[in-house]
Amino acid sequence: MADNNSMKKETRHLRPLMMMLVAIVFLVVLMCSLSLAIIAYDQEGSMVNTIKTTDSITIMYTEGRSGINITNALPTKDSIGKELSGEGATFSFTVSAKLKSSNVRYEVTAIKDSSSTLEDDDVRLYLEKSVDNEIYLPVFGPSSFTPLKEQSSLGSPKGSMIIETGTFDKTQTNNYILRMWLKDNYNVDKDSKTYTVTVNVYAASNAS
Amino acid sequence: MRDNSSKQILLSILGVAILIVAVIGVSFAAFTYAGVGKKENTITTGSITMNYTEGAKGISITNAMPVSDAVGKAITNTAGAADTGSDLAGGAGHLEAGASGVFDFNVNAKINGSVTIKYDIMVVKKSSSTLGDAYAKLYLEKSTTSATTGYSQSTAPTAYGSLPAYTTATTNAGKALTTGKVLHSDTFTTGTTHYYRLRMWVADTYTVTGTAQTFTVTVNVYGQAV
Repeated sequence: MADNNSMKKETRHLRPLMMMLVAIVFLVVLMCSLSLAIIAYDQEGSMVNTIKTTDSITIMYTEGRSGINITNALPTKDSIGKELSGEGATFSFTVSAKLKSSNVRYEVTAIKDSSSTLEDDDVRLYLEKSVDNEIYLPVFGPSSFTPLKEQSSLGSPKGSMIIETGTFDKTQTNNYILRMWLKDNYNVDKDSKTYTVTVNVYAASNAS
Repeated sequence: MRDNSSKQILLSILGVAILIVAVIGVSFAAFTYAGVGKKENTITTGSITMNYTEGAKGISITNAMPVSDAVGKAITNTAGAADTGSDLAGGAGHLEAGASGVFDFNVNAKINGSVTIKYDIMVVKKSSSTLGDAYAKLYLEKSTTSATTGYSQSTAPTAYGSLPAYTTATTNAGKALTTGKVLHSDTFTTGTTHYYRLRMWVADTYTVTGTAQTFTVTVNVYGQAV
Protein backbone atom coordinates (compact mmCIF):
# COMPACT_ATOMS: atom_id res chain seq x y z
CA MET A 1 0.00 0.00 0.00
CA ALA A 2 2.76 2.32 1.03
CA ASP A 3 4.70 1.32 -2.08
CA ASN A 4 1.67 1.94 -4.30
CA ASN A 5 1.16 5.35 -2.79
CA SER A 6 4.77 6.31 -3.25
CA MET A 7 4.66 5.04 -6.84
CA LYS A 8 1.57 7.09 -7.50
CA LYS A 9 3.30 10.11 -6.01
CA GLU A 10 6.29 9.63 -8.26
CA THR A 11 4.06 9.24 -11.28
CA ARG A 12 2.27 12.46 -10.51
CA HIS A 13 5.57 14.31 -10.13
CA LEU A 14 6.90 12.95 -13.35
CA ARG A 15 3.79 13.77 -15.40
CA PRO A 16 4.46 17.51 -15.82
CA LEU A 17 8.04 16.82 -16.67
CA MET A 18 7.00 14.34 -19.29
CA MET A 19 4.60 16.85 -20.75
CA MET A 20 7.34 19.44 -20.95
CA LEU A 21 9.68 17.01 -22.57
CA VAL A 22 7.10 16.11 -25.20
CA ALA A 23 6.44 19.78 -25.89
CA ILE A 24 10.12 20.56 -26.23
CA VAL A 25 10.68 17.70 -28.62
CA PHE A 26 7.70 18.84 -30.65
CA LEU A 27 9.03 22.40 -30.88
CA VAL A 28 12.53 21.25 -31.82
CA VAL A 29 11.08 19.22 -34.65
CA LEU A 30 8.98 22.20 -35.71
CA MET A 31 12.02 24.52 -35.75
CA CYS A 32 14.06 22.04 -37.68
CA SER A 33 11.36 21.72 -40.28
CA LEU A 34 11.67 25.49 -40.94
CA SER A 35 15.27 25.17 -42.02
CA LEU A 36 16.03 21.64 -43.08
CA ALA A 37 15.49 20.16 -46.57
CA ILE A 38 12.55 17.86 -46.77
CA ILE A 39 12.96 15.28 -49.39
CA ALA A 40 10.10 13.33 -50.74
CA TYR A 41 11.43 10.19 -52.24
CA ASP A 42 9.67 7.39 -53.97
CA GLN A 43 11.39 4.43 -55.47
CA GLU A 44 8.42 3.11 -57.36
CA GLY A 45 8.98 5.22 -60.47
CA SER A 46 5.74 7.07 -61.10
CA MET A 47 5.98 9.81 -58.46
CA VAL A 48 7.72 13.16 -59.17
CA ASN A 49 10.95 13.64 -57.24
CA THR A 50 10.83 17.02 -55.56
CA ILE A 51 13.53 18.77 -53.65
CA LYS A 52 12.51 21.94 -51.77
CA THR A 53 15.48 23.92 -50.51
CA THR A 54 15.59 27.10 -48.44
CA ASP A 55 15.93 30.34 -50.41
CA SER A 56 19.24 32.22 -50.40
CA ILE A 57 19.14 35.97 -50.08
CA THR A 58 22.00 38.36 -50.64
CA ILE A 59 21.62 42.13 -50.24
CA MET A 60 24.48 44.46 -50.93
CA TYR A 61 24.86 48.24 -50.48
CA THR A 62 27.81 49.60 -52.43
CA GLU A 63 28.98 53.21 -52.22
CA GLY A 64 30.58 55.15 -55.04
CA ARG A 65 34.14 56.36 -55.01
CA SER A 66 33.42 59.67 -53.29
CA GLY A 67 30.65 61.50 -51.54
CA ILE A 68 29.33 65.01 -51.96
CA ASN A 69 31.81 67.68 -50.93
CA ILE A 70 30.70 71.20 -51.80
CA THR A 71 32.59 74.10 -50.24
CA ASN A 72 31.60 77.77 -50.28
CA ALA A 73 28.11 76.61 -51.12
CA LEU A 74 25.75 79.31 -52.25
CA PRO A 75 21.95 79.43 -52.15
CA THR A 76 20.80 77.39 -55.12
CA LYS A 77 17.47 76.98 -56.85
CA ASP A 78 16.02 73.48 -57.00
CA SER A 79 16.08 73.55 -60.79
CA ILE A 80 19.85 74.00 -60.68
CA GLY A 81 20.50 71.70 -57.73
CA LYS A 82 18.80 68.81 -59.51
CA GLU A 83 21.31 69.12 -62.35
CA LEU A 84 24.49 69.25 -60.25
CA SER A 85 27.13 66.99 -61.69
CA GLY A 86 30.76 66.11 -61.42
CA GLU A 87 32.93 64.65 -58.71
CA GLY A 88 32.09 66.03 -55.34
CA ALA A 89 28.72 67.30 -56.49
CA THR A 90 26.86 63.98 -56.40
CA PHE A 91 26.96 60.70 -54.49
CA SER A 92 26.40 57.45 -56.38
CA PHE A 93 25.58 54.14 -54.78
CA THR A 94 23.86 50.84 -55.56
CA VAL A 95 21.53 48.51 -53.70
CA SER A 96 21.50 45.02 -55.14
CA ALA A 97 19.83 41.74 -54.36
CA LYS A 98 20.39 38.11 -55.32
CA LEU A 99 17.21 36.16 -54.78
CA LYS A 100 15.53 32.97 -55.85
CA SER A 101 11.95 33.27 -54.85
CA SER A 102 11.71 35.57 -51.87
CA ASN A 103 10.77 39.21 -51.65
CA VAL A 104 13.00 41.61 -49.81
CA ARG A 105 11.83 45.02 -48.70
CA TYR A 106 14.42 47.72 -48.28
CA GLU A 107 14.73 51.38 -47.48
CA VAL A 108 17.48 53.90 -48.16
CA THR A 109 18.01 56.23 -45.22
CA ALA A 110 19.90 59.50 -44.79
CA ILE A 111 21.60 59.86 -41.43
CA LYS A 112 22.38 63.45 -40.44
CA ASP A 113 25.73 63.96 -38.72
CA SER A 114 25.45 65.60 -35.33
CA SER A 115 28.22 68.04 -36.24
CA SER A 116 25.97 69.75 -38.80
CA THR A 117 25.42 73.43 -38.07
CA LEU A 118 22.99 74.28 -40.85
CA GLU A 119 19.32 73.87 -40.08
CA ASP A 120 17.42 71.00 -41.69
CA ASP A 121 15.29 73.51 -43.57
CA ASP A 122 18.34 75.14 -45.14
CA VAL A 123 19.36 72.08 -47.11
CA ARG A 124 17.69 70.25 -50.00
CA LEU A 125 18.13 66.55 -50.77
CA TYR A 126 17.27 64.87 -54.05
CA LEU A 127 17.53 61.21 -55.08
CA GLU A 128 17.34 59.63 -58.51
CA LYS A 129 17.18 55.94 -59.37
CA SER A 130 18.00 53.81 -62.36
CA VAL A 131 17.72 50.08 -62.96
CA ASP A 132 19.91 50.15 -66.08
CA ASN A 133 22.42 52.78 -64.93
CA GLU A 134 21.46 54.93 -67.88
CA ILE A 135 18.07 56.51 -67.40
CA TYR A 136 17.64 58.06 -63.99
CA LEU A 137 14.28 59.10 -62.61
CA PRO A 138 13.53 61.08 -59.46
CA VAL A 139 12.37 59.06 -56.46
CA PHE A 140 12.78 61.60 -53.67
CA GLY A 141 12.76 65.37 -53.32
CA PRO A 142 13.92 67.95 -53.67
CA SER A 143 13.04 68.10 -50.04
CA SER A 144 14.40 69.32 -46.76
CA PHE A 145 15.55 66.83 -44.16
CA THR A 146 12.59 65.63 -42.12
CA PRO A 147 13.64 63.29 -39.30
CA LEU A 148 11.72 60.15 -38.37
CA LYS A 149 9.90 60.40 -35.07
CA GLU A 150 10.53 56.77 -34.31
CA GLN A 151 12.47 53.83 -35.70
CA SER A 152 10.96 52.29 -38.82
CA SER A 153 9.89 48.67 -39.07
CA LEU A 154 12.97 47.90 -41.17
CA GLY A 155 15.31 49.53 -38.69
CA SER A 156 15.88 53.08 -39.92
CA PRO A 157 16.68 54.84 -36.66
CA LYS A 158 14.70 57.63 -35.08
CA GLY A 159 16.01 60.99 -36.32
CA SER A 160 17.05 59.67 -39.73
CA MET A 161 15.13 60.25 -42.95
CA ILE A 162 13.93 57.58 -45.36
CA ILE A 163 14.59 58.74 -48.92
CA GLU A 164 13.59 55.61 -50.80
CA THR A 165 11.67 52.40 -50.18
CA GLY A 166 11.50 49.44 -52.50
CA THR A 167 11.05 45.71 -52.88
CA PHE A 168 13.22 43.19 -54.63
CA ASP A 169 11.39 40.20 -56.07
CA LYS A 170 14.23 39.02 -58.26
CA THR A 171 17.96 39.41 -58.61
CA GLN A 172 18.52 43.04 -59.51
CA THR A 173 20.73 46.07 -58.97
CA ASN A 174 19.25 49.51 -58.36
CA ASN A 175 21.52 52.48 -59.02
CA TYR A 176 21.07 55.74 -57.14
CA ILE A 177 22.44 59.29 -57.34
CA LEU A 178 22.06 61.60 -54.35
CA ARG A 179 22.36 65.38 -54.63
CA MET A 180 22.40 67.95 -51.86
CA TRP A 181 22.47 71.76 -51.99
CA LEU A 182 21.85 74.93 -50.03
CA LYS A 183 18.27 76.17 -50.22
CA ASP A 184 17.80 79.20 -52.45
CA ASN A 185 16.50 81.50 -49.71
CA TYR A 186 19.38 80.89 -47.32
CA ASN A 187 21.09 84.08 -46.19
CA VAL A 188 24.82 83.64 -46.34
CA ASP A 189 26.35 85.53 -43.44
CA LYS A 190 29.70 85.89 -41.74
CA ASP A 191 29.71 82.34 -40.38
CA SER A 192 30.53 79.34 -42.50
CA LYS A 193 28.23 76.40 -41.72
CA THR A 194 28.11 72.73 -42.68
CA TYR A 195 25.64 69.92 -43.21
CA THR A 196 26.73 66.28 -43.46
CA VAL A 197 24.74 63.12 -44.12
CA THR A 198 25.67 59.49 -44.64
CA VAL A 199 23.47 56.87 -46.31
CA ASN A 200 22.43 53.53 -44.84
CA VAL A 201 20.30 50.74 -46.29
CA TYR A 202 18.00 48.55 -44.22
CA ALA A 203 16.29 45.43 -45.57
CA ALA A 204 14.22 42.52 -44.39
CA SER A 205 12.53 39.46 -45.84
CA ASN A 206 9.69 37.46 -44.38
CA ALA A 207 11.03 34.28 -46.00
CA SER A 208 10.99 31.21 -43.80
CA MET B 1 -0.14 17.71 -3.12
CA ARG B 2 -2.75 18.59 -5.65
CA ASP B 3 -1.60 22.24 -5.49
CA ASN B 4 1.97 21.25 -6.31
CA SER B 5 0.84 19.25 -9.31
CA SER B 6 -1.30 22.09 -10.53
CA LYS B 7 1.59 24.49 -10.22
CA GLN B 8 3.85 22.20 -12.14
CA ILE B 9 1.28 21.83 -14.89
CA LEU B 10 0.87 25.59 -15.10
CA LEU B 11 4.62 26.06 -15.28
CA SER B 12 4.81 23.51 -18.03
CA ILE B 13 2.12 25.23 -20.03
CA LEU B 14 3.88 28.58 -19.54
CA GLY B 15 7.16 27.13 -20.68
CA VAL B 16 5.57 25.68 -23.81
CA ALA B 17 3.86 28.98 -24.54
CA ILE B 18 7.17 30.85 -24.30
CA LEU B 19 8.80 28.41 -26.68
CA ILE B 20 5.94 28.77 -29.18
CA VAL B 21 6.29 32.54 -29.09
CA ALA B 22 10.04 32.21 -29.58
CA VAL B 23 9.58 29.97 -32.60
CA ILE B 24 7.04 32.30 -34.16
CA GLY B 25 9.35 35.23 -33.49
CA VAL B 26 12.24 33.50 -35.21
CA SER B 27 10.21 32.54 -38.26
CA PHE B 28 8.56 35.96 -38.74
CA ALA B 29 11.82 37.74 -39.76
CA ALA B 30 14.16 35.16 -41.07
CA PHE B 31 16.37 37.73 -42.88
CA THR B 32 17.38 41.28 -42.01
CA TYR B 33 20.11 43.49 -43.37
CA ALA B 34 21.67 46.81 -42.43
CA GLY B 35 24.20 48.42 -44.74
CA VAL B 36 25.96 51.26 -42.95
CA GLY B 37 27.44 53.91 -45.22
CA LYS B 38 30.90 55.32 -44.70
CA LYS B 39 31.01 58.09 -47.31
CA GLU B 40 30.20 61.50 -45.87
CA ASN B 41 28.21 63.94 -47.98
CA THR B 42 28.93 67.50 -46.90
CA ILE B 43 28.08 71.02 -47.99
CA THR B 44 29.88 73.96 -46.41
CA THR B 45 28.60 77.49 -46.89
CA GLY B 46 30.71 80.44 -47.84
CA SER B 47 30.69 83.55 -45.67
CA ILE B 48 30.12 87.23 -46.32
CA THR B 49 30.86 90.24 -44.19
CA MET B 50 30.04 93.75 -45.27
CA ASN B 51 30.80 96.93 -43.36
CA TYR B 52 29.99 100.56 -43.86
CA THR B 53 32.40 102.84 -41.99
CA GLU B 54 31.91 106.57 -41.74
CA GLY B 55 34.72 109.04 -41.47
CA ALA B 56 35.28 111.07 -38.35
CA LYS B 57 33.42 114.13 -39.61
CA GLY B 58 30.47 114.95 -41.78
CA ILE B 59 30.11 117.97 -44.04
CA SER B 60 29.50 121.20 -42.17
CA ILE B 61 29.61 124.28 -44.38
CA THR B 62 28.24 127.61 -43.21
CA ASN B 63 27.55 130.77 -45.19
CA ALA B 64 27.40 128.61 -48.28
CA MET B 65 26.91 130.57 -51.48
CA PRO B 66 25.75 129.31 -54.85
CA VAL B 67 28.77 128.06 -56.78
CA SER B 68 29.43 126.26 -60.01
CA ASP B 69 29.97 122.54 -60.19
CA ALA B 70 33.65 123.11 -60.91
CA VAL B 71 34.05 124.99 -57.64
CA GLY B 72 31.96 122.52 -55.72
CA LYS B 73 33.99 119.55 -56.93
CA ALA B 74 37.12 121.22 -55.61
CA ILE B 75 35.91 121.73 -52.03
CA THR B 76 38.59 120.47 -49.67
CA ASN B 77 38.80 119.44 -46.10
CA THR B 78 40.03 121.46 -43.15
CA ALA B 79 43.73 122.06 -42.66
CA GLY B 80 44.10 120.14 -39.43
CA ALA B 81 44.12 120.59 -35.68
CA ALA B 82 45.65 124.03 -35.85
CA ASP B 83 43.05 125.28 -38.24
CA THR B 84 41.01 128.21 -37.00
CA GLY B 85 38.49 128.09 -39.76
CA SER B 86 38.69 129.07 -43.38
CA ASP B 87 36.68 130.17 -46.33
CA LEU B 88 36.31 127.70 -49.09
CA ALA B 89 37.70 128.55 -52.47
CA GLY B 90 35.37 130.17 -54.95
CA GLY B 91 33.00 131.37 -52.25
CA ALA B 92 31.54 127.95 -51.62
CA GLY B 93 31.23 128.77 -47.97
CA HIS B 94 33.07 128.80 -44.71
CA LEU B 95 34.43 126.02 -42.61
CA GLU B 96 34.51 126.62 -38.89
CA ALA B 97 37.59 125.39 -37.07
CA GLY B 98 37.68 121.63 -37.22
CA ALA B 99 34.74 121.41 -39.60
CA SER B 100 34.92 119.34 -42.75
CA GLY B 101 34.07 120.25 -46.27
CA VAL B 102 33.86 116.63 -47.39
CA PHE B 103 32.43 113.44 -45.99
CA ASP B 104 34.68 110.36 -46.27
CA PHE B 105 33.37 106.86 -45.76
CA ASN B 106 34.14 103.35 -46.98
CA VAL B 107 32.31 100.12 -47.74
CA ASN B 108 34.20 96.89 -47.12
CA ALA B 109 33.38 93.28 -47.97
CA LYS B 110 34.99 89.99 -46.93
CA ILE B 111 33.88 87.13 -49.11
CA ASN B 112 34.59 83.40 -48.86
CA GLY B 113 33.35 81.69 -51.93
CA SER B 114 32.31 82.77 -55.34
CA VAL B 115 29.60 85.30 -54.61
CA THR B 116 28.68 88.76 -55.83
CA ILE B 117 27.47 91.45 -53.46
CA LYS B 118 25.51 94.30 -54.92
CA TYR B 119 25.13 97.39 -52.79
CA ASP B 120 23.56 100.83 -52.99
CA ILE B 121 24.68 104.06 -51.38
CA MET B 122 21.67 106.18 -50.69
CA VAL B 123 21.22 109.61 -49.17
CA VAL B 124 18.28 110.57 -47.02
CA LYS B 125 17.40 114.22 -46.55
CA LYS B 126 16.75 115.27 -42.99
CA SER B 127 13.26 116.56 -42.51
CA SER B 128 14.55 119.80 -40.97
CA SER B 129 16.20 120.78 -44.26
CA THR B 130 14.85 124.04 -45.66
CA LEU B 131 16.83 124.42 -48.86
CA GLY B 132 14.95 123.14 -51.87
CA ASP B 133 15.89 119.75 -53.31
CA ALA B 134 16.80 121.37 -56.62
CA TYR B 135 19.49 123.56 -55.05
CA ALA B 136 21.55 121.10 -53.03
CA LYS B 137 24.18 119.57 -55.28
CA LEU B 138 25.86 116.28 -54.35
CA TYR B 139 29.02 114.85 -55.85
CA LEU B 140 30.59 111.46 -55.09
CA GLU B 141 34.09 110.18 -55.77
CA LYS B 142 35.41 106.67 -55.32
CA SER B 143 38.83 105.17 -54.75
CA THR B 144 39.78 101.51 -54.70
CA THR B 145 43.30 102.16 -53.44
CA SER B 146 43.16 104.17 -50.22
CA ALA B 147 41.18 106.71 -48.23
CA THR B 148 43.49 109.55 -49.26
CA THR B 149 44.43 108.92 -52.89
CA GLY B 150 43.16 107.56 -56.15
CA TYR B 151 39.75 109.20 -56.18
CA SER B 152 37.76 109.55 -59.38
CA GLN B 153 34.20 110.58 -60.09
CA SER B 154 31.51 107.94 -59.50
CA THR B 155 28.44 110.23 -59.38
CA ALA B 156 28.48 113.50 -61.30
CA PRO B 157 27.25 116.67 -59.54
CA THR B 158 23.50 116.13 -59.24
CA ALA B 159 20.81 118.03 -57.41
CA TYR B 160 19.29 115.98 -54.62
CA GLY B 161 15.87 116.25 -56.27
CA SER B 162 17.25 114.78 -59.48
CA LEU B 163 18.76 111.68 -57.94
CA PRO B 164 16.78 108.50 -58.67
CA ALA B 165 14.35 107.38 -56.04
CA TYR B 166 15.13 104.18 -54.21
CA THR B 167 13.06 101.39 -55.81
CA THR B 168 13.62 97.79 -56.85
CA ALA B 169 13.96 98.94 -60.45
CA THR B 170 16.76 101.38 -59.82
CA THR B 171 18.87 99.68 -57.23
CA ASN B 172 21.27 96.81 -57.08
CA ALA B 173 20.13 95.53 -53.77
CA GLY B 174 16.51 95.30 -54.84
CA LYS B 175 15.09 97.00 -51.79
CA ALA B 176 12.24 99.46 -52.03
CA LEU B 177 12.13 102.24 -49.45
CA THR B 178 9.77 105.15 -49.18
CA THR B 179 12.40 107.82 -48.62
CA GLY B 180 15.88 108.48 -49.83
CA LYS B 181 17.70 108.79 -53.12
CA VAL B 182 20.19 106.50 -54.78
CA LEU B 183 23.56 108.19 -54.91
CA HIS B 184 25.57 105.25 -56.28
CA SER B 185 25.30 101.49 -56.90
CA ASP B 186 28.25 99.13 -56.98
CA THR B 187 29.36 95.52 -56.73
CA PHE B 188 31.84 93.39 -54.85
CA THR B 189 33.08 90.20 -56.46
CA THR B 190 35.96 89.72 -54.05
CA GLY B 191 36.76 90.91 -50.59
CA THR B 192 38.00 94.50 -50.79
CA THR B 193 37.31 98.09 -49.67
CA HIS B 194 35.73 100.87 -51.68
CA TYR B 195 36.54 104.40 -50.42
CA TYR B 196 34.12 107.26 -51.05
CA ARG B 197 34.24 111.01 -50.69
CA LEU B 198 31.02 113.06 -50.74
CA ARG B 199 30.83 116.75 -51.43
CA MET B 200 27.79 118.99 -51.22
CA TRP B 201 27.22 122.63 -52.20
CA VAL B 202 24.58 125.13 -53.14
CA ALA B 203 23.78 125.05 -56.84
CA ASP B 204 24.63 128.14 -58.82
CA THR B 205 20.98 128.39 -59.86
CA TYR B 206 19.94 129.28 -56.31
CA THR B 207 19.00 132.87 -55.56
CA VAL B 208 20.16 133.91 -52.15
CA THR B 209 17.41 135.36 -49.99
CA GLY B 210 17.50 137.05 -46.66
CA THR B 211 16.71 133.81 -44.88
CA ALA B 212 19.37 131.24 -44.06
CA GLN B 213 18.59 127.79 -45.41
CA THR B 214 19.97 124.43 -44.41
CA PHE B 215 20.25 121.10 -46.12
CA THR B 216 21.24 117.94 -44.25
CA VAL B 217 21.55 114.38 -45.50
CA THR B 218 22.64 111.09 -43.98
CA VAL B 219 24.19 108.25 -45.92
CA ASN B 220 22.97 104.63 -45.77
CA VAL B 221 24.39 101.57 -47.49
CA TYR B 222 22.35 98.45 -48.41
CA GLY B 223 23.90 95.26 -49.74
CA GLN B 224 22.71 91.90 -50.95
CA ALA B 225 24.46 88.75 -52.11
CA VAL B 226 23.31 87.69 -55.54
